[in-house]
Order: sequence, then structure tokens, then C-alpha cells
Amino acid sequence: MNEPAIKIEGLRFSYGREEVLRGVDLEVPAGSIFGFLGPNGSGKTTTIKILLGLLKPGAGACRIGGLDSQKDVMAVRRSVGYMAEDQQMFGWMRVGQIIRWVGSFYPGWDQKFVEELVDLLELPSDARVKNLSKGQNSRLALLLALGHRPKIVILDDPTLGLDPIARKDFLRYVIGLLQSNGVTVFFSSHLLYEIEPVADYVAILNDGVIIKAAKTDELRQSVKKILLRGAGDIEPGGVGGILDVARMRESIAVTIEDYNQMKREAIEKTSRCAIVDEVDLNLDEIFEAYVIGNRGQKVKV
Amino acid sequence: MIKALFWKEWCEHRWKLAYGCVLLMGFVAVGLRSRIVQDAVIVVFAAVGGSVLMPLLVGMGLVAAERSDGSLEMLLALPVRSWKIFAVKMAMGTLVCVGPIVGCMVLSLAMAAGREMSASRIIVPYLGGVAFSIVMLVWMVAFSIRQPSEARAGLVGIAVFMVWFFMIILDESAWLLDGSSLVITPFGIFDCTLDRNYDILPKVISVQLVIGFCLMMWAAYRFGKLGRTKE
Repeated sequence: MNEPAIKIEGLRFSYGREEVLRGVDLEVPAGSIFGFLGPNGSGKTTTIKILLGLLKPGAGACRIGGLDSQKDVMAVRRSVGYMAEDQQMFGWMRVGQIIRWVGSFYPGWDQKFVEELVDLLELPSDARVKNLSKGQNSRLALLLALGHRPKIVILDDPTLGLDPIARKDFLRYVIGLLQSNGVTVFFSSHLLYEIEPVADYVAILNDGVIIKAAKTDELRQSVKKILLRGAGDIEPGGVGGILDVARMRESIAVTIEDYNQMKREAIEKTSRCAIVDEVDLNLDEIFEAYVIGNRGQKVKV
Repeated sequence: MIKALFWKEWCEHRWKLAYGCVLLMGFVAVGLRSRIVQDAVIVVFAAVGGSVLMPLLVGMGLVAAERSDGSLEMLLALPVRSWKIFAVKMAMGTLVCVGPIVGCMVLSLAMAAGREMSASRIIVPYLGGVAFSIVMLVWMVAFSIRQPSEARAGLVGIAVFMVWFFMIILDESAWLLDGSSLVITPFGIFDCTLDRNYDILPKVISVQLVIGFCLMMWAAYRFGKLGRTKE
């Protein structure tokens, strides 16, 4: 079995007294596009900074590309491509200058590949970085993360601050450049709709712990919203895996994970209601159910 | 790698070097040419003024400017040890601080050596200025390294200078100290070079070297930990 590209075990981290990560465990399969989801402040960027050796964890261990992210910091940074959240670069440098400058820190920098990327990403070589648009800035940051042809690329909320068109453009470039080359992409975001079409796997980080990690398709298939109608009470405690229960006019919507025939029958039995519909959810709705779902308070039909 | 770091720092700070040279050397050139006051006054003003102005100007931009515009995160994420980045920053900062003072010294020697002052009398205040500016830069960077903006780093630099100044005043008033302020603060350097009080020079040099070394170690450690602060 292949070693995972990224392996995180029992990761804990605090900023002073504020505990940000409370035991994160995660495995990112090699060659996958992995969506790392979580609301703002959930600890995504902190996890990424620990992976790159920019922060030291209070407890736990991370391995990235087979390297210990705390002991082999320089080797990790040389072998991984990293694009920071809202990456600020040296505004006074010209695009060509910053590319050459960053390249001088990486022994494996592929200048020919970078020149192709400059054309592909439509970057103006002579423009100053401070004069680039947000979209161009993101594309330049992506280019700088890829110039040494890394096998693992970490993108920390790369489309933050971009308008919808620029976001779509950026994702098109990411997929085009990375998906076909067997590169592992670890992609953090809080914008679910941008992760959904590209990610093979997703993990949801909330309040410093991973509350769900699964293949994107499996997650979409396993989490359903069912609509119930009848005169009974919903007693979700009787059925495991209920994420959210909400009243919708004359019916009750129950969002449930690992949904199957057994759970269907159990819900009908315990609630004495009839299931009138089963609805597939998109990743946005699934994320919402996991993060802000009420876990099934008793609801009167 | 180190060359690339130097190139970046040079590009960022060369304008300050040019500004310092034009300002201080212009003052020296006009002052020595016009002869409105004694040459010694011009030399001392240039040496003392340059040694306070340049570290403030440079210290504000060395780390705090990069923090405020957000590029420090990119710099620290490169595959380079943070102490190397810090060492290059300090080396370039020192060069920019010292450059205009050395320029003034050369200009003063060219214009006024042997006129009212001997060459050695001209050189000594400037050497004091060079030493004072390096010490002030070290103190300022050490205490302002976590400041999020240039303005706040500048305020820290001014505060450091004022604390030294108050220590000297207290010492002169004989309230608390017993002359040790001249050794602890870099004002002892000017006491040696301007008042020619060479007796305390070895003590001043050794104490300032020890303090400077400790402050640099502390600053380098904190520079590497800048990512720890929650943005």
C-alpha cells in the first residue's frame, strides 16, 4: 500500500491559552486532490503552517512526502509547493524578477517549465507585482509554488478575495496543471462550491478537530436529507448519525449520514411518520449539516 | 541563496542609503564650505545626527515594514533558515546605517583636514558615530521586531533612545547610578570619542559587545518565531 502523501496524527496547537487544534488526525492519499474544509478560524491555516514547519505543534506529528515536518523543515519546504492564504509578495519586484529570485532558493527549479507557465497563466513578465490584479497575483503565487515541480502542493484558501470569474479561471488552471501530473493537491477553503467539482477527498475541520473525512462521492452518496410527514414526534436519539433536523412547512427535514435501508426503517418506526422524499445534498449543504447542524433536537411534526 | 537575500535587501534599502548620503553629506559639504561655524561643530553634528537618524530610518523598515505589507510570511516560508534571513537583514541594515557616516568622514577629510582640525580629530567622532549607529540599530531591531508597522517600530526606537537619555540624566543627578550608564548605554561611545575620555573605552566596548550579542541572539530567536503570532 502506498504511503500517504500527508499523514497527521494527534496534532494539537494553542495560541497562548486558546487551543486551536485539539487532536487532528488526517491522511491524504498520494495523487489525490484533497479538499480541507472548515469555517473561518477552525484551524486550517494553522494546520498548514505546522505541516510546513512554520509553527511547532504542542503535540502530535506530521509527515509530508515521507518527511517529518518538524525535523526536516528545509527538505519539506524544498519539496513541497506552497501558496499562502492571500499571499502578499514583494510589490516592488517585477514578475520576471520575483520568478528568478524565488527560483534561486530551489535546487530543482525548472526555468523552462516556468516560462511555459508564464505564457499559460498569461502573466506579464515586465509588470510590477504591486500592479497585478488579484487574479494575476493568485496565478503568480501558484506559478511560484509549482516552479520546482513539487509532488505535493498545498494551497491555503487560494481563491480568497477573487471574484467568481477569477475563481473559476484559477481553478481551471489548478486542475489543468496538476490533476493530470499525479501531483497531490491539499486545498484548503471555506467555499464549498469551489471544492466540490475538483476534490477527490474532503475533510471537514471544525473547532480544532476533524469531524468528517471521506471520498467526496461517497460523502455525497452517504449523506441524505429525508422529508417526513405524519403526526408523530421525531426522536432522533433512536437513530444514529442524525446531523440536522429542521421544520419545513408541513414536513420535517432530517439530514442523516451513512443513510441506508436500515436507517430508513428505523426512522419511520421511531417517528411514526412516513418518508415522503429523499434528497441528495451538495457539499455545501453537507458541510452545513456537519458544522452547524443541531444533531437532532426533538421536533414536533 | 544568500546572494539572493542580499540582492533583495539591497533593492529595498538602497534608497535609504542614498537619502542618508544626500542629507548628511549635503549638510557637511555646505557647512564646511560656508564656514559659518567651526569645522568641529559640523563634524560633530554630522556624526551624532547621522548615528541617531540612520538607525531609526533603517530599523523601521528592516522587519516591521515587511510585517505590515505581509511579505514576511512569504520570506519565512522559503527553504532558508530564518537566522540566515535575519543575519542578512542586519548586515544590510548596518551597511546602510554606516555608509552615510563614512561618506561624511571621507568628505570632511577631503574638504577640511588640516584646516582647523587634524585628520585624526576628524576621523574619531565619525568612528564614534559609526559605533553608536550600529549599537542603536541592534537595540532598536531587538525591541521592535514584533511591531506590526513601521510607525510603531520607529516609536520603539525613539523610546529606546529616550530611556538611554533618562539614564544619563539620572546618573548625572547622582540619584540612582554611579557612572555605569555611560557603559550600559552607547552614550559612553560619544563620551570616549567626543570628550576623549579614553579611560572607559575598553569597558564600553566590552559591555556593548556583550549586550549587542545577547540582543542579537534574542532578536534572531524571536524573528524565527514571528509565525507564532495569530494574524
